Amino acid sequence: MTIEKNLNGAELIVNIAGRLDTTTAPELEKELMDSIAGVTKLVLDFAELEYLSSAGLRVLLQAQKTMNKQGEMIVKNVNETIMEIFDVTGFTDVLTIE
Amino acid sequence: MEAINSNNKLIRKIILSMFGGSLAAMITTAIALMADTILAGVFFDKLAIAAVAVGTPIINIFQALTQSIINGASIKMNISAGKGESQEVQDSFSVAVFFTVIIGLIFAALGFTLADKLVDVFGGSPEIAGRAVWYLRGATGCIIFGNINLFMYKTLALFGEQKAILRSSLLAVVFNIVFSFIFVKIFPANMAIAGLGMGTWFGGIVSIVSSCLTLKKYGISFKIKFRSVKFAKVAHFVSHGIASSGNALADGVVSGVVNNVIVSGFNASGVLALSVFTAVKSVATFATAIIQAVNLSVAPLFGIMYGSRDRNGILRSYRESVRLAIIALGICAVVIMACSPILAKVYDMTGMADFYIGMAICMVFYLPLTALLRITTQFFESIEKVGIGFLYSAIPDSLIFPILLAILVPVFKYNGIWIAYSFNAIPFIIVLYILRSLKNRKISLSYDRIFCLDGDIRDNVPKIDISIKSDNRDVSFISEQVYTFLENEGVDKKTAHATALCLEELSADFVEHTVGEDTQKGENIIMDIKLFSDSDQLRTIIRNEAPMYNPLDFESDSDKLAKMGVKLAQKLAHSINYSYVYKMNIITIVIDKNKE
Repeated sequence: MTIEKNLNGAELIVNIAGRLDTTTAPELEKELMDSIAGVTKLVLDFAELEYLSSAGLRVLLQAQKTMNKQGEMIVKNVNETIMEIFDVTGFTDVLTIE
Repeated sequence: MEAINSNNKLIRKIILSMFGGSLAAMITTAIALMADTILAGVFFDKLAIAAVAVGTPIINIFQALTQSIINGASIKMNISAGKGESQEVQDSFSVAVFFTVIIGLIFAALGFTLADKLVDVFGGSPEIAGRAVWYLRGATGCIIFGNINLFMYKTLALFGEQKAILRSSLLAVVFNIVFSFIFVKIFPANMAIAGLGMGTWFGGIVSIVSSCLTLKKYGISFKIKFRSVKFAKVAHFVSHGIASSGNALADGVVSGVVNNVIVSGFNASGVLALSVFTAVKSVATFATAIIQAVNLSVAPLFGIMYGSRDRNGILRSYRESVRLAIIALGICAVVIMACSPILAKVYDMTGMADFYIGMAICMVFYLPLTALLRITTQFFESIEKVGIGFLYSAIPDSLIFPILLAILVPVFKYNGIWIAYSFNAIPFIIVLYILRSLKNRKISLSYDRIFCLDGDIRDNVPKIDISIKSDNRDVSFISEQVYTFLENEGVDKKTAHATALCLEELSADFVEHTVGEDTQKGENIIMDIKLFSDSDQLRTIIRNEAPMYNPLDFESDSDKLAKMGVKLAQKLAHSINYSYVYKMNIITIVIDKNKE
């Protein structure tokens, strides 16, 4: 998995490529927690994300809870396969997906 | 990370972990079988020993007649466990016990009422006939409880409870002695010997209770659903279990023929020759407890692999079991040969070259060839090839052995006995191989043909067959490998994703709950992962050797976050089944192809 971060003022855009699974999810969690302070808008770009497991969902949920207190979080460019994961888990009701 | 591509590790590890307990249990069982003979000598006299010797084969024959039900039920249970059909395992268990009791009662009644006539037929001379009759009457309960006890052991073996088998068999021996003592003391003198027989099955009842308490935690009980009592089911059990029973009966008949051939082949010294052969045979028979232990250890595994249509697992289990038997028998043979002077003294055959030669030939040739035959018999029975299993069990020692004996003994005397006894498997194997080659019109046969694997198993080679450590890095790695592999095989993205995801979620859940942070064993817990491609489905089987843990067993609302992955897998998969057998957690995940 590769993580690319772009901070524009209080907006943080994070491009995630590859797999977000049991092994890589802790890495994303650490990157977000290290960078999220003071951010009012967090954008997660899933254009190059191929695979998402429940470990990744937990990180997203944690990030969403944090951003609910300090601003907003948007997930964009979700492919069909990962969208299905969001649908069956009910995450479409929890996340803001564009 | 290292994915361990050595696929024997889990199977070898499990068989080895079962073997110690199985061996101890088989040795204890062998002692239990000798108990009445020993107790007859302790409580009574030599004539009582002879009376027990007359009565015992009669009980064994009645037991053999009813054993087909439990043998067949055991095979069915092993296969059902492999398929994850827990209810079928329980139903087969309870139905088999029910019918074994019913039919056992009938035979026990026959044995009790016809005892005097049976003793007459089986060589009860006047000075021992009275005692033999009473011993037989006392022991008729063994027809029921002896078989139920044996069935308990086979069922415990299915769940990998070899220590429980050892505990139960020890209890059987101890309480046999206790009850025998009590009954011998309280019964009138003329029928006191019946107490020995009764002590055996009372000890068996204690053993059954002990076994039941262990089986309860796996949800196995005597509770019977009468709607599952179908004669077709019992007929299925009998048809699949009759090979073992038939062989036991054939052995009993043939032993009389063999004895006569030996005695007549040596003319004046026939009785001496028979005693030498009996002595060598008894030592070899004791050593075959190792083969019985291997079979007890591995029979459930054959059935489990067959039930899940795992071709590689079936063949690996066979290979590992033969390997274990040969190594263990080799060690045993060395020990026995080192002790042969002591054995010669015990049997009063010191200085008899023929005894030593017989022992050497049996240890080197008879034991490994017998191991091959018996494990192969067990293998064929476990994969429902009952007819072939019966051929392997009956033809060499019940047909070829006496024929070879009749040909060789007049010419080669003692050496003729050892050659016939040790090598009777070889003509059978050669002839069978030739016949199968002719049938298949090929000289060299594949393993699939040799082991008569059906098409749906023969062709069911897993696309992925790998063992990994129970470690999250390995789990993620395998999930990625599976995803990439399936994409390269032309499987649509959604199906590939669902398969890889379900595999990861269930494996990760296993790792979390069966390999804790504080356990030192984490590195040694191996997971087998196999992926099969059926026509319209992908089937993933995950097996790990760990304490029982069912990832599918949780309250739907509790700990939502912790079980999110399992719930996700349940929604993506066509079905997910769990079973715990043979000390293995087994998860079978089925994904429909062409989800796009």
